[in-house]
Amino acid sequence: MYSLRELQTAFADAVFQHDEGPLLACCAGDPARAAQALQVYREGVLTSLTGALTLGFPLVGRIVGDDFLRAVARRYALTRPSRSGDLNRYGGDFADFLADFAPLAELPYLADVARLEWAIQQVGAAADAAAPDLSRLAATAADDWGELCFELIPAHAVLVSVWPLYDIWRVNQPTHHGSCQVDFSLAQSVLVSRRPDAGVVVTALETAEAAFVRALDAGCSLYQALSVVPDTASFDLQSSLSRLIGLGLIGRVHC
Amino acid sequence: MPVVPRDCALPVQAGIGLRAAHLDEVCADWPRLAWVEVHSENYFMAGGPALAALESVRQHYPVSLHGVGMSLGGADALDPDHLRRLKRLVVRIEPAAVSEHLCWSAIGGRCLNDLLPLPYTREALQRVCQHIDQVQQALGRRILLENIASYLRFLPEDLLEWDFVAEVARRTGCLLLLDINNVYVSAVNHGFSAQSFLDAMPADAVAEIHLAGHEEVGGLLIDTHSRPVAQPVWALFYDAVRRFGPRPTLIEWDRDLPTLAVLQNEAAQAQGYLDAYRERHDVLPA
Repeated sequence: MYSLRELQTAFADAVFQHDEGPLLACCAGDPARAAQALQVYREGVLTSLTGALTLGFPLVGRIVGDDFLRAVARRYALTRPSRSGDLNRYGGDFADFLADFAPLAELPYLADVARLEWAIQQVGAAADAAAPDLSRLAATAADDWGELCFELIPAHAVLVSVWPLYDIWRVNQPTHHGSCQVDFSLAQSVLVSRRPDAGVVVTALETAEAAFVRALDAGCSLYQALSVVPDTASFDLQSSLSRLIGLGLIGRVHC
Repeated sequence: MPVVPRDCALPVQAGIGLRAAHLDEVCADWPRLAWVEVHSENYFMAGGPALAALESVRQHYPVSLHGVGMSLGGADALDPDHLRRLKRLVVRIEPAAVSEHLCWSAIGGRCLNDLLPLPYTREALQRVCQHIDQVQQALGRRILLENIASYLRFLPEDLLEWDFVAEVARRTGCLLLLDINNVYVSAVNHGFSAQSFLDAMPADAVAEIHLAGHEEVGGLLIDTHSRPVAQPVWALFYDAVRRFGPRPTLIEWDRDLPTLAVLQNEAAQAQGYLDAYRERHDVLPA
């Protein structure tokens, strides 16, 4: 007689590793029917895991085709089971899996697309922020802005890519009309953020701007953040700040 | 222990399971719905538009939070993060009811994210009761426990499934969410009498009823939630209403989701059974 843990472990092994013997040994009734029932459970588990991925990574599906995505997702589900009872948290390392998946070697940018889709999911679910408070900025002379810290709202993510990630995302939107040409020599970073009125917004970022946003997010003062921006010639602080404020990314300014 | 509003304040009417695909339509028109039930885990996030939508829904309808991932019957300890997120949601939404399934879904760090059957042993009974105690203590309220549909049964067992359910309710004081479709599906699959199941249920503890559709695959009934409620399930539902009295009743539909109007029609049919019972027994509508 199995303990509860032994029986449940045998069940999981039967589902993920097709190792059915130990579980079927303790099933009531006709063994063939029990094997059929077990197959129903296996398909149920794998269908819900792959379903979570096809729902969460629609852009990957659009690029590789839904059937292919389902097949890859099934492979992922068999080797990397869910770690949470909340299926919405499944797929955090799907991008890494895609990066190492040999049949997708000809689509090297696909992992970054998956990272972007995961970021979109996370930003959509991140904590709400209080109304922005930029009073400190208005009350500080421009010459002294260097000491200010810009606290970003929780609902954002910055993705740095060696691929034209923003353009790949843009031309694959259902609302996109016109040319689907993408210049693969470009490297684009992307900001994913959420506004109370507009949901999740995806914006292209210059490489310098991405470094700047990341530095602000790490708690750097404006002065410190500017010192890590790699190519200051293409970076305009005024327009960048006003763009970030316009996106609702700055939650609070403090010293 | 009788049902008190603190633990279950759902109206004794027929409501619907509200899924993401219908959320925008509901939030645009606020159609007439007696109450709605959502899957708790779909609102475990810290913030954002989905959670805000649920808060709006809560302003318009009584809401039941129905968990699918706590793994109450798991040999592992409960996931503290899962419980913390449920509690945060309960505090935020102040739901009319909080329910979970009598099943397991994770072992040794592997989550199967499915409602899996337990062996009905004394060990499992003790484990489930410990976990329900822990959840009820954390939430500061009694939960409703739902019987699942199953396709496998394990031997040896110390109790019959219905005695196991009743014993869990007796030991923990939890309420019962009686899923009539699940009783029917399991009764057909395992060859027991659905009446035996209903006979064993403590009437005072039955706080909610679920109805859903199933499918037959190779002689096995599968609880797919993809169809209208089947005729024998309606008959068993009315039998349950006669035994336990009218209860808050929910139409669940998860796969091949129809229009909201179809769900409303199914709920109206369930409401018809509740009303018919009241008319025959002179029970005033709740």
